[in-house]
Amino acid sequence: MSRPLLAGVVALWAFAAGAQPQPSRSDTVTSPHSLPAKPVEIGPLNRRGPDIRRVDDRARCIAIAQRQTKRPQAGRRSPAQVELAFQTALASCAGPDVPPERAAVVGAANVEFRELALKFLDGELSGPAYLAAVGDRNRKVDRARTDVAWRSALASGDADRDFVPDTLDTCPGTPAHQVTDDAGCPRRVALPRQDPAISYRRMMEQQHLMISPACTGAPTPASPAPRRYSRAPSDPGANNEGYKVAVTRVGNQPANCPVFYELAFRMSGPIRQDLPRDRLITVTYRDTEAHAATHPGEVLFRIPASSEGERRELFEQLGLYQRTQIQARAVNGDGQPSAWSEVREVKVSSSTIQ
Amino acid sequence: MTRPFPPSAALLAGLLALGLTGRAEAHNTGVHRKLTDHAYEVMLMVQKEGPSQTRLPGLPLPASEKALSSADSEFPALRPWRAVNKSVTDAELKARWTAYMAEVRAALPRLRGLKGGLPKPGKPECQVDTVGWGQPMSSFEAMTLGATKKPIAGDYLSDDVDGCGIQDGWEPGGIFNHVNKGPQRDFGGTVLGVWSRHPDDEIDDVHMWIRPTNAGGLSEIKKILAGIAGAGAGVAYISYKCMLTCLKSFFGGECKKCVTDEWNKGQQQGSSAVAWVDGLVPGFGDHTSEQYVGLWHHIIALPPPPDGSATYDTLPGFHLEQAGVVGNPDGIEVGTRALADALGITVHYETSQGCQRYQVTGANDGHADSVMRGEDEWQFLSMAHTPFSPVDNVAWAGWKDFRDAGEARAARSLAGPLHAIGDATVPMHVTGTFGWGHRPFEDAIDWRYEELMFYGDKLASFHQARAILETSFIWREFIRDWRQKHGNTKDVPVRDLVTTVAQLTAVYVKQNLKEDWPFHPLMSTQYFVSKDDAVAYYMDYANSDELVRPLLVNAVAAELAFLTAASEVMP
Repeated sequence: MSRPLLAGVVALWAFAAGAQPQPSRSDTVTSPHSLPAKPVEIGPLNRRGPDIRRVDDRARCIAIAQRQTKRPQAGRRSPAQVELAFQTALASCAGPDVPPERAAVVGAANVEFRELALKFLDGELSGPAYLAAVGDRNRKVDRARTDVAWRSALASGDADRDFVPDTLDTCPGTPAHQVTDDAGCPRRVALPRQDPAISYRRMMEQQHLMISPACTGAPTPASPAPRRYSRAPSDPGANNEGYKVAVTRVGNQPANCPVFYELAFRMSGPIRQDLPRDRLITVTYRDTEAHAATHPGEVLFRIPASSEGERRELFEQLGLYQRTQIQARAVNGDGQPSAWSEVREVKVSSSTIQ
Repeated sequence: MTRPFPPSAALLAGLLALGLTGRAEAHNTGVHRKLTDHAYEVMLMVQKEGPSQTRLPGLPLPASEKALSSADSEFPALRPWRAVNKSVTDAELKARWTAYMAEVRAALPRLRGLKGGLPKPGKPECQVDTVGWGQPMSSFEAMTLGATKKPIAGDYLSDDVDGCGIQDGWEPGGIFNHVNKGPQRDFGGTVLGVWSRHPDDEIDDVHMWIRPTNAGGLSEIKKILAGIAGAGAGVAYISYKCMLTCLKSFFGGECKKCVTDEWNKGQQQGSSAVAWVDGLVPGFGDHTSEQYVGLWHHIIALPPPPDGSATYDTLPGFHLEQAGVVGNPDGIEVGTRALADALGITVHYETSQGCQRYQVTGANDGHADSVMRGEDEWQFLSMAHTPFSPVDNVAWAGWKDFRDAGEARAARSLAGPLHAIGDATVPMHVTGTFGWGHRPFEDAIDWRYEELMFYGDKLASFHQARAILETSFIWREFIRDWRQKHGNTKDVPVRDLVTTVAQLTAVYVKQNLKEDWPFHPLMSTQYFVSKDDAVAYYMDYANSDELVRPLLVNAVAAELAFLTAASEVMP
């Protein structure tokens, strides 16, 4: 785009300039962190086996690599050593054009990245220390991609796994995952004082992964569409006051594979001035809570006055706003979600829905 | 390595998706659909006004008539453009504007004659005359936009669509309810909108592959569960800590112990499944391969890369390793990077059509071709270390199909360019961040779209339509300039167009950046813990409507100019 035109379009909005992003505060530390000093001894970076070299079919190549790593002699190696051998073989399987030393570096890089990641996820490494270590390895792996001599030297030996070839390493035996310069010596790294990962770790500790064997092989759940909702007639003595929400049934999951319906409500147009402009409330139902609807393609969920928690809040808020929009999605027992439906305005049915 | 995404691997991908915060697409899909339809409705408005400038009842001067006045105050959106283009005289501007209005009018019949390319409705009961398609099923896919007699729902393309994919009660909103009404209501915009919403549905863009150590290990968890009485038909809730234990132990004995413990713990929490879900799995986590299509939907214009620094394309696309706002990742981004490496989630080159399709070669459009990559560069390291192609390349792939299709030309090929223009107006997608409040920001726009675009206010909607039209004139001039420099071709420089829209969004973001808007370091994390609160943050942010609205106006305007120019390659 020509500069005048860009300037013209930019000026179109004519908004005042705002604040600029602030760089993170950082300070310098002499050592990013202390890690277990004993590196896993894996010997020289692995080479492809001769049988793999002959194999063109990659699926077969992978199968052979898997068998190799399960051989009895593999059993005498540590899981990390087996993993390194396997990852190297896997890179070799990409085709005959992959030089063995390239595969070796790729295998070693994947193992290193995995170990660093697990240490971070487990809290052994802070976010900034993790990023610094990954950045260091990235730089060296990138060099190995373009610098053939460096790559060959690296593949021939890197006992301390700092991604500096032994032949060029003036500081052999650095601790595992240590950030180093290109001579293999520990390097000072400026680390931000704030760790952005603290909130992430707290959040993840609240997360669970759903697993349901009955959902194995299930397709992505169909997206349930909100149809309508109604306030059920108050029936004194029957305690059935509340709302019913109808959504389309998710019917494409295997038998016994649980389906959860997640319903997000946005209420707007408050009936009183002291209420917020909007309210968002999301509630979740399991399929076993669904009631059959007269419409065969639908299921009903209830929001009775006796609800608790989020549902109770929803029950109360629905009566305070004039307009309701609903969005829905389904999640199966393996945690596999549908897409969210489009936001739909759903009118309160004048008659109850069954 | 020809197998697709292994089903068991979906479970591990769930862990990654906990970090990816849902579908990593710019704008929620429903918003893309509405933006595109909005552009079409503005075109209908111009046509309705006609060359005689018939006034719409009860409204100020029609947009096209206003434009004929050179009075600055009556043409506000073009004022800055004129300040830069001082050599353009009043008379010349009038002439160009009049020509543009005529071009918009001429574009509509061409678009109405364009095949929609919608597949037949899947359900047999939807393939009957009673539905009112007015179209023999044998030629359904050739149904033109103009012949579409039903409003097509946004989820028309999904397998189990409700109501035959017809959105009963659909209205275009605002002034357009008066422009496009009655028995002759034009539903062409809804067809374009469906495609704009789904640029990837017809294409197998990306498969992720979990390196076999982990994928194989995952089935071990199910084997463990199968060995516990009653667990085979139940749901286990595996904690983050336990999943880490399994990964670290290569799914060995410690994994078995923790999975068994987790199962027993879950059972002790009572029979209320809802409590489990609400309490233990807030926000769930997307992890299907569909999740990953959004990885092609970024174009990093903020910060602008130094000259020559982009490795593969003029502006880079998404790169997890560098995700963040101006290089600063938030917690979600650091964590997701680690999860990708821990799980070994990797682009599966052979089955991911996007790798080939979105690398540009031989474009000859004045925009540099991609530096081509082979399998090793796509697949050797995890997705954390793999730069994805930018979204202007997605636009180019679709545009090339449309331009060169001849008789087979259909609206579906416009999906890529239309979606890409919309993507380029989202701050997070021109910054390459999937954290920093990305998902709640987009959800907030989705919920408030009708207010943002004045669906309930006829007059405000009309004034906004005028602003859209004037802004689209600038994009039309952009395309016209390019065409003149390239031999007066009818081609459309979609990569330049998307790139420039993205650059403009970046400038806008810099000008309007607040300490806590649009980027917020905690809101993506908050989205998992309390999704509604995170979305409400953006919905309730001071002046948020005024801050967001110019981005949407520009998206519609650029799409309008694109549709007008695109129609010109048609006979």
